[in-house]
Amino acid sequence: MSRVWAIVRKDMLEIFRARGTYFYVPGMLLMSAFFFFSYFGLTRALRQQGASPALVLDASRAFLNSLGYLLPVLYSLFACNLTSAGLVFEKQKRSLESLLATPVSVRRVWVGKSMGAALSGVIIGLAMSIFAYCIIAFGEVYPRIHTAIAPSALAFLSGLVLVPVTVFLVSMLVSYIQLVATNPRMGNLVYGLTLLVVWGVLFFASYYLPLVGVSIDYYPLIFVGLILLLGAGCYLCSRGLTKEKVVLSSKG
Amino acid sequence: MTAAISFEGVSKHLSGRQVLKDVDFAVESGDIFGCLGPNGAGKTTTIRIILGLLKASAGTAQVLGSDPGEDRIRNKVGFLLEVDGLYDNLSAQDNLAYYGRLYGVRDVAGRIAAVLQGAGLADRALDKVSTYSKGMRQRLALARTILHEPEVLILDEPTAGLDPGGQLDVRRMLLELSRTEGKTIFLSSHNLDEMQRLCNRIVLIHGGEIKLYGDLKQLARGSGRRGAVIETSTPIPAEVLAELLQATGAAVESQARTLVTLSGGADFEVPRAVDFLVRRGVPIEQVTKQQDSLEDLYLRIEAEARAAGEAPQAEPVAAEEERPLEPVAAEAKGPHDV
Repeated sequence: MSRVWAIVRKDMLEIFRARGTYFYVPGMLLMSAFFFFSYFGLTRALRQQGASPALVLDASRAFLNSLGYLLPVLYSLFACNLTSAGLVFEKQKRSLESLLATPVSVRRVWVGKSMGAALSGVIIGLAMSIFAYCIIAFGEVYPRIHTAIAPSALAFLSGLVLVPVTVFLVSMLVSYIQLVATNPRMGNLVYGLTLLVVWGVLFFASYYLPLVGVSIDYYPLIFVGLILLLGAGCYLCSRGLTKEKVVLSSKG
Repeated sequence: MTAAISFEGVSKHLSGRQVLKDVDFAVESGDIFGCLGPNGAGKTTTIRIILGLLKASAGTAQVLGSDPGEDRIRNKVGFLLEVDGLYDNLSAQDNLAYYGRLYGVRDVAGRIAAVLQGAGLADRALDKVSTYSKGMRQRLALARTILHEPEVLILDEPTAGLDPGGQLDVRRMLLELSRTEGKTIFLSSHNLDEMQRLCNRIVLIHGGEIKLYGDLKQLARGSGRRGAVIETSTPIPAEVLAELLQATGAAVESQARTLVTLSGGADFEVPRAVDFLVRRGVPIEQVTKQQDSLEDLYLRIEAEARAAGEAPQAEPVAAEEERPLEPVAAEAKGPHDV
């Protein structure tokens, strides 16, 4: 396990030292601005309609709970992009071959590379979630309703456990493709498709399920389903992964 | 004694093509062993099998008596591949710390300090590798190779792209490792002069097959072409020279006033020729022994292979760069001569 952590540490060090990371994060922040616009738009509309503070608090809590699922996913999927780009770069520089020639098994390399990127993404995702929580709690709820607000236990669990695990498994699948594919665009394709599927499922859940009377707290179940599916995919991939496959796909 | 590296009937098929054909060789402990061959000959595949990155399709490849794919064995092997594999965004210290952790080095900080000192990079330890020159990168890569104190070193083109001073530094480092620490070194290079200076034994691969293998001195001696350049104070009398040629079976390759170049077959012995001249009262100033250089052997074998229609093909995954042969000294040199 210490060798896996060595890979994780090195990759995170590289990610946080790369200038690109600091261009990417503000970009993602701008993309998520719609979330705050929606929130402040809703609370303003509620106040203008003379809604009670309790109703505004409920609306704020609903936003905060969805934050536990949506923002970490948005930011953490950044990790898949990192995994994909990082492995392509390592293949081009042929440092991956050097790594494989050390006493580290190819599965450990796979896990280490995925975990390094996933953890970086999760750290950024969680930092942004805390930032968003502060905006909701101290920009709206506390000044206007004079009360504290916290996400539900399920949202908390999802944000801290289910979303990171999902992101890690997506990273695993993307890095598997990048490890064995000769065409680096394959990883990007898988990343793009995964992003579409995850967002598709979440949008379906957020728009369709409430119409049929299902609460948003069913999100954790969706993540558990995704985790099982992705886990099975990773298990199947791991069976055919060899150093020879990786080395032979590294031409050029 | 178990060989440090042994190949017994090793064959390798890649993309439906046989890249190595029944290859047999052994690298003994303490050898500086050279692996030669044109691009696409199978050298990179050989190195990848030794490093456990590829598996032999047939035959047995062993490193230190075991399967090279075992973690335990890879822990005893250091390598420097054609591309150094260093991370540009990290400092020299971070690069070494990373590999130190991968190899499970106990006193990582102490070892890093020691190898950086040895490589002359101690004062640049915290600088990003992207700011290093090619020579500094190569020295850092060599430092990384020996960080975990391996028994066997696998080096692919360790002096490629270096200026003469840098090449000399690397050669000195390798000889130091061989002489003082008894490391076994497997060296692949296109630089024949360097191979001749460093290696005591070689294998020449062409078209996936071994064309030449053994002790470099013996190979040169047994290659058929031997001779001597004899400088005398006064010209050798014609009758004495004729007797000498008859007695030794040699022929005159060139002759100036007091300088005669003799060439003979495998039986030609320089001491016998010198003894003959001394007995006849010829005052000898200087004698230079001549025999095939590694370059001569290499070019002859390549020409023979070409004549036999064995053109080397690109290895499917070798991605080796085309690099012209560097010029080598005409005079044959002994191994282990920086």
